[in-house]
Amino acid sequence: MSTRKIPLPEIIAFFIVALVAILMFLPFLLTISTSLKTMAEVESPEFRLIPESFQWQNYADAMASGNWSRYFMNSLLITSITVCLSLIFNSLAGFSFARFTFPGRGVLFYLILIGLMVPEQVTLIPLFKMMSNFPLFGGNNILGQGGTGLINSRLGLIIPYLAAPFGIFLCRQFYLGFPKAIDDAASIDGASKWRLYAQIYIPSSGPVLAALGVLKTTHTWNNYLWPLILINSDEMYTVQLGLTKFRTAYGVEWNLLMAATILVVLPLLVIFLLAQKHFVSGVVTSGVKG
Amino acid sequence: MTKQKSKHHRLDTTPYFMLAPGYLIYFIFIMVPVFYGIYYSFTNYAFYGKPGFVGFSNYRYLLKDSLFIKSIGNTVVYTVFTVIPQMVLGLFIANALNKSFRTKSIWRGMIYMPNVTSMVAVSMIWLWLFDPASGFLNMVLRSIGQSGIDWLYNPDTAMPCIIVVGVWKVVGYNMIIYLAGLQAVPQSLYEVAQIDGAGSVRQFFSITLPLLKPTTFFLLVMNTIQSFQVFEQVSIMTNGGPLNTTTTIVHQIYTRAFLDFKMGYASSMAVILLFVIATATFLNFKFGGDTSDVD
Amino acid sequence: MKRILVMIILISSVALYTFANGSQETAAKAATSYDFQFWFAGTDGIETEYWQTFFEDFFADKDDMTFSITGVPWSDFATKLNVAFASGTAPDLVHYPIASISQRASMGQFMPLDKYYNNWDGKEDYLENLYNLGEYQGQLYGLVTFTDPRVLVWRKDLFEESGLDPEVPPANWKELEEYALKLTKKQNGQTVRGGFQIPFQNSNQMVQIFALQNGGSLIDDKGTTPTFDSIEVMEAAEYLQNLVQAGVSLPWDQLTGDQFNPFPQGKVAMSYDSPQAYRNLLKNHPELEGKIGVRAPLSNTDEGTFCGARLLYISSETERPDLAWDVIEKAMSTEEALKRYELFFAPVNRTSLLEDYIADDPELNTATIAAIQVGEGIAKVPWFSLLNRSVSNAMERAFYGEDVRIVFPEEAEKLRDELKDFQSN
Repeated sequence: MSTRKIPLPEIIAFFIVALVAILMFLPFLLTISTSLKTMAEVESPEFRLIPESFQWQNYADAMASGNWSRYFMNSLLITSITVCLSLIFNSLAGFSFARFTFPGRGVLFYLILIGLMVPEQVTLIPLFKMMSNFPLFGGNNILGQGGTGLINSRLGLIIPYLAAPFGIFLCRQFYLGFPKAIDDAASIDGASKWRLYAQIYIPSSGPVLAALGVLKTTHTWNNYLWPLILINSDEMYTVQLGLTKFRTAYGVEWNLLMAATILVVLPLLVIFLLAQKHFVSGVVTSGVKG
Repeated sequence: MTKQKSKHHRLDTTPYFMLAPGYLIYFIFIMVPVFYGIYYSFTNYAFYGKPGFVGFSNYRYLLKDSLFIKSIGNTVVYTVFTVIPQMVLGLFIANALNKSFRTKSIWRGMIYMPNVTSMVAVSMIWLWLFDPASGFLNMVLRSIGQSGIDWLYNPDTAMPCIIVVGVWKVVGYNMIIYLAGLQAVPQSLYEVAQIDGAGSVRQFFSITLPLLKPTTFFLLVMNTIQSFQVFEQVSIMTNGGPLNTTTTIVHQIYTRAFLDFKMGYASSMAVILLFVIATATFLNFKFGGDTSDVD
Repeated sequence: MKRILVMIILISSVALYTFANGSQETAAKAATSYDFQFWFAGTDGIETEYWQTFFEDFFADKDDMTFSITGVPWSDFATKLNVAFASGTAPDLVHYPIASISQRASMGQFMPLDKYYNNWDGKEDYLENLYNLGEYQGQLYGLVTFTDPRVLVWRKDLFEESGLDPEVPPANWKELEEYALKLTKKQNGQTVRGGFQIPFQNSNQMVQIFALQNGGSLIDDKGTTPTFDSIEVMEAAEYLQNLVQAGVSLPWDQLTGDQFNPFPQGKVAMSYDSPQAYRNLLKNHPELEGKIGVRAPLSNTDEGTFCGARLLYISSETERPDLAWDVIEKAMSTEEALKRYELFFAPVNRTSLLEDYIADDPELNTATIAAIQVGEGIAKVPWFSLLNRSVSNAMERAFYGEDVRIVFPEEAEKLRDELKDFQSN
């Protein structure tokens, strides 16, 4: 590595990035500030960024509003299972789309995109009906009759999200960028397609799996509408459902909501920071060399 | 192609098995409900009882629905003005944070924050930023001697505000995808370019941008699809107002389905939306340059 | 790599299995007895606790049955309920605002309660106007637990500041206008403090209040057609339009909620609001104690105001309607009414409790009861959401400068056209 003088465009770039970052962060800063105020101060017409007195008690109060350890546990389980399985399914399908030609490939691929184009509001009801008639679960018989199926179950929060068109598409695009030399080298070795995937592609997929993992984690953790519809009992609540506890008939306890929001966001931030180094690990070259 | 075929006499089923787990789940839990939605669009389904078949009458009524037509226009405006800025900003930030300075992980974290925070909490902050009476923006304006703006209550500024929130929310996500894409650009190319004396700006346009094409294409398609379905910030911040200047297609679908109980009619809107997005996606594929060819 | 893969799959399948078993267990429990499902609008702690205790008490001597209660956020209740009815998984009993009573009753989602009501011993004691709130086309569908009428509230301190008698609020529309103008403060032509709060967007409730006070109605008596282009309603709308254009109000969308309501922030001197919101305000701002006045709503030619309410409805899908009615009877009892007053300041729903109720807080509770007696809920037509949007739209267009006498007939005509399609569809 040779030392070099930092060129001017990069200095300009730094300032622009810093400015954008601060602007992006400002609303969150206000969230933190609100979480430390009293309700009277939140509603007061004069605004202060730094609260009059720091109400750390808000955080304790927010967590006392429900069975939060259980909500976190539920969200953690649901998110980790969804993310792990969907990473495997999506990368496998993306790999297949990107690297092989087979009859029906085009149709199957475009069909994937169609699923993204219809808003949730319309597909909600048929999906819910399928959940309630899910065979062999929740007291249902093999034809899906007699019980409540996957309604009010954590499994019902996982299954529909295991295969996201988004993930399949992203993995496909990523693998399209891989040099084809890898495949050729592997086929000389006589590696089967499965081994090609598991031994060469997966080890080189750090950036895409990290990016997809972070986005999928965020999405699952923050999912609100589906759990709201599917879950009825407090013991199955996710963190996002827990956040509804601060809405009352006559307004919202904003300070507590903001405090809880920050605690709910923290795990996501940790995951993001942990995954960061994988986004930026040079990949393909090492794949070629290896 | 021919060589491959002659090598394998039978159809190799492995690619299908690789697709199977993801694809089956996708088909059952995403595609089948979509088919149901299309079926509802030909009925008068109202959440209860059996849907009655009404032929094309929902679609005929759509042509007369001035609010729906207005919502299409609003949605297109929103899409155009969010997709481009969020991609340009995302790429710029990803590129800058890919190599240069030391503190980059903090900056990345800050930029990604909007994407992780749930919209319900953050919407309050935005509403408050935009609030005409006591909001932060007007406080700033008044402190420099300007008169305040009604932001979300002014038909001219409401949509721009919604767009700002939309861009703010997804720049971080564009940045992440671009960061992942940038790793596929071999470092050696930059080293060669440096030896040739190419500056960082020229390197960006002659090496980075062309090699990021698959990523850019992916983001263009996904951002377009997602922007066309904008709903969350509209429903929280303006409810489509003032004077319906911010009502969007999905906002209309939600209103018709869940407030008016006209699921059949709302589904016909969703089918139109499907066609609009499919057309936009088709154009993206045609002119965006999909590199789907494997050979 | 392979090992990691195998491990992930293994862990996931074990976890999935555990989950599945969990849900099967609860289902098995439900199969041996009857699990009574109750959904209520609201998610906050006090309310959840109230219903939990209530049902524990009710089911204490019923060993063969269990119950589950589910609190649902206000804004998302309609969605959840629609999906549940669509898939045949609706709860037995629902606690929900009046809002969609007409839609759900006309589709047959709620059960008519007349046969129970007529045999109910509390019938005579039930507050008179409350029956009307739960009635749709001659049949009773719900009994009222919470009422939420709009009363006139004003800031006494701001009245004094503007040289008005803090104890004497305006008595009619003319005085309301005078007071509002007097209380408004402007800087560079922009309002910094409002006199009277009128929401700029989703103002249908405000239009309804003023229409009622002017002897008008948004729909005809039979509930077949919109009449908000009648002269009485348009006069009311013009009155509101003049006030807004004179700058007595600050921009506010009623649907964004109280967080941005300028009245609690002290930025507006007078408003129509619910007694509950008033209590909430005092809870967050103890320094305002004694500085807020409350009166029954004004009248121009007639008395009238908006009255929100929450009712208990029995789902027509329940297998135990008698049991559900027993729950309602318990909820309507004197003890529960008093408990709700203690916990949430909910106005009482029985005539025999009025005296004590008013004595507890004469100023506020007199106004509340007066408002309930003349209060009208959301229009009871299956197309109420369309009506609300049309009225709000017309009012909004007027606030942004169009002529009331043109926009109101125009929006009403458009709605009538749409209803033709709506009903045939």
